[in-house]
Amino acid sequence: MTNDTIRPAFPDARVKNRKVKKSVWLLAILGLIVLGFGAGFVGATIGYIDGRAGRSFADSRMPWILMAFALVSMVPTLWWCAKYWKSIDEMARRAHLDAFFWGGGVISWAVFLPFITPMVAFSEFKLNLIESLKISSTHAFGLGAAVAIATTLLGYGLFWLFWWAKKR
Amino acid sequence: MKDKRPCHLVKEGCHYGLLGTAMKNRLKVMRAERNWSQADLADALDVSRQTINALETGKYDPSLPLAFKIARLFALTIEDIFEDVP
Repeated sequence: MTNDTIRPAFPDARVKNRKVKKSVWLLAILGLIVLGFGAGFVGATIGYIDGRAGRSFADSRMPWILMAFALVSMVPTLWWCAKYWKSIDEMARRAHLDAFFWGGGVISWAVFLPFITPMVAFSEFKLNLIESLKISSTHAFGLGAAVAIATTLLGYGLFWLFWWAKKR
Repeated sequence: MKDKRPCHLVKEGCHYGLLGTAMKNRLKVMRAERNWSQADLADALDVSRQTINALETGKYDPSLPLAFKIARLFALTIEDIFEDVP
């Protein structure tokens, strides 16, 4: 088959060069703003109502309402993720999959584990840390979760950047 | 005796990935023969231009569906375009 016979088929196969559309990013930014302000508003409102009613944190309905908020927020978040995933090509997907395993998994936990081990193994260390930070054990748990998520995201992001730098 | 040098020193357009896989391809030559730009090829294959660049430089190995798509576009077999480096 000559080149000329191949070429006419080309315009038929032509589709828009696969790039994430601006509207997808715009949706993400808008979503983050709405969800961020929404969470803040819900938290502040419940806190205010609880405060007026004189309820303690243990009696507060805050955790349940925030959980419901998180569940509702998952719907547009998952929808956006599906939209984003569909809009990228296989190499961009591979970058995310590799970053998930190596960055968000292996590397971040290799960094995080040395911090967790002494906390689990030596309760003295844990108590001293809570005391020095002047926080309750509930808050320390929350802080631990936040640090774990931040470490995972950091590892994910760094590996994702490294992956693209290597492929360019 | 097996050549133990990295494949990019032995053959042009191939590399060892994170897990040691290596693939050589003729994509750049075939595209040039047809006077297609990387963007043209990216459009035809529904991938980004970065993907075409990474494919041509041997930094990324395509999935089987993409390899078939490339082969169909050039009216060749996958083996005519891609060659695994033992």
